[in-house]
Amino acid sequence: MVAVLRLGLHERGVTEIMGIAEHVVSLVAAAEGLRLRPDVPYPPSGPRTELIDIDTVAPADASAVLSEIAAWSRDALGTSHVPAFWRALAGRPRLLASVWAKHRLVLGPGELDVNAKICVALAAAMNKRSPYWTAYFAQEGRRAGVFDDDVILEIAGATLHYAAFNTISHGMMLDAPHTDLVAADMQAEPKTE
Amino acid sequence: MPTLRFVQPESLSAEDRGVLERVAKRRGTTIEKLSEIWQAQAHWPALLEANLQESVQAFQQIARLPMLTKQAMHVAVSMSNACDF
Repeated sequence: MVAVLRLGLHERGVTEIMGIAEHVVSLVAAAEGLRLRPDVPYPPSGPRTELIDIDTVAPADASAVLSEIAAWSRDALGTSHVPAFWRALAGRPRLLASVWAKHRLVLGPGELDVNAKICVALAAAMNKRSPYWTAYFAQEGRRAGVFDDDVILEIAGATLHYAAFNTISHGMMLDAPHTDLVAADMQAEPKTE
Repeated sequence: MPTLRFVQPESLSAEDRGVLERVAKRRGTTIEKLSEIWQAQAHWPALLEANLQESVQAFQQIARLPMLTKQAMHVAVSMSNACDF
């Protein structure tokens, strides 16, 4: 965390990173828990795995949000269908609305720009081993012109490295080297190891 | 406190101490001030060396993405792995 503060991010920016991390973890838990097959950019083929019916007509209360998602998906994902994750939540319209609103907030403009945010989201989805959300975020990043194969490989390489070092620090129970950080203090300090 | 006491550099062979010195130099510091994440691997210098090379190749030398983006990914992945460090 010290590094992002030294690179100019403030408390709000760090909280944005935390927001992406916790949001993606929650998305992965639901998508993989419901056994959703990746459907971005193309609908899946083969045997159905989903635990619930995601093709039933959604309740009327969900129609406004689903229409908004459909329009966003056409533009941002290049899909002609509403992604399965959102259709799955539509059975609970208020849940759908709250998760979609949070999704747009967390990945929208902030102190951290949206291009960085989609990289963070893909890294978090890779780290949590989610076929559904890695496919989704990879397509979103490609459509936005942020990703190509080389950048996706760079994100995978970075995720590989972080996963290894997280395991070392957790396995050896290393103490956090810094606590009670204040961005302004870090940005005033010269870099030391 | 770490579960395993860190290696004392003076107890290392010249070859193994050389690995530690290379890591410290690459990190722009000295053995004494090397971050615990590296010190924790120093009981097996070959692993330390392997992880240094992996770090350089996977994180530092591939540079299409801005450093802030890479460090932001680092924070997010570490948070999602419940990593205190």
